[in-house]
Amino acid sequence: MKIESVLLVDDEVEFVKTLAERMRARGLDVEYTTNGKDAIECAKAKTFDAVVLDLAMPGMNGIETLKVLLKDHPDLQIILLSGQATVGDAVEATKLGAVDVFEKPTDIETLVEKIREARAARLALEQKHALDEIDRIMSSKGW
Amino acid sequence: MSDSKSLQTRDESLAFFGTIIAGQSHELTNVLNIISELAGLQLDLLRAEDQGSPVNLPRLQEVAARIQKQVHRGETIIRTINGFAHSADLPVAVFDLKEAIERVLFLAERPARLARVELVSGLPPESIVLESNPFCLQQAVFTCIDLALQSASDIRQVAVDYVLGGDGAEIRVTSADHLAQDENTDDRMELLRFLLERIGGSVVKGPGEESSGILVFRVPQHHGGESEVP
Repeated sequence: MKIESVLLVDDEVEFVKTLAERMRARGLDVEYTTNGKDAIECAKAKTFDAVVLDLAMPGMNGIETLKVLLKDHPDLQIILLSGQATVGDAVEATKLGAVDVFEKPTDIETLVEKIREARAARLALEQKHALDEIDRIMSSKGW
Repeated sequence: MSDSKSLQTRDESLAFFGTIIAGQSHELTNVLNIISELAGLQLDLLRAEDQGSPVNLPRLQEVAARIQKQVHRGETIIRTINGFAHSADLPVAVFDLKEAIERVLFLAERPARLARVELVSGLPPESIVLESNPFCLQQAVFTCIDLALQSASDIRQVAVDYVLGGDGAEIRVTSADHLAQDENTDDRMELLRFLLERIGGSVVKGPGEESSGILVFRVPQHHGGESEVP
């Protein structure tokens, strides 16, 4: 059975806790943290289909966290969810590799659908890397 | 004060006003976003009932209590912003020192949180009624806190308190870390002196002096009003 796994990162504990409850009720495997540093540690410990990341956070903000996460896990599907994102933030995040930017409050069904798409995209990338590796091995053997 | 200094101070005051309002509007947005998610959670629970699950009344009541808590948080933000905005109504007003500083502490909570600094209130129970410019006083306190936040490095704790006496009060902003001594600090200190000039106050202790983590300034109880002693 496929279960989408998602990491939610937002410094508003009540917000992230409630969003997690709602996503779990929709069958997702959800973990949450309230800062970028912990998010980086969580992503090291477990493979997530998607990370839903807030922009304005104490310490490492969303953009800084996104940079580190993508450096460590280039295939990670990161969705920005912010209450204060400017057009400039959205453009920067997308350029850096975020798959989408949502403004709070967002429709949960839309967000869950995006996470499902993120899982499909991550699996496709994983498959592509596996095929590339097979190609590389075959080429190196002269097959 | 020269015209250029006066204009500079006005620009700085407008920037201060903008910083506060922008920060609090973000806080209010956070509150509304939480309420939106909690309302969504309630709907989820009610929809579950439509699908045959029994009504989980305790769960619904728990979510309602969480909504009420956020409503209360939103009310506090609005009341504080309103008080702050009205503090700019008159150049001289009669106001409570403790209330004015408590308001600044509330408004500075967000920048402190984003800077990962703990803001500690050490305000004594006693207060005095000032006849002065409340907006200038609040800006002066915020300027000191802002300076301390920007200097925070290791311990990351800033405390605010005051001591009454000598027909006025000494307001102290104490950083657990040393205050930076750079161009930004010089600019902030210059602004602080401009502001204090407007309320008849003066800097008692600044960066680079004995206790390098402490900013102290003094304000008289009466300045610019009818009760001012010449």
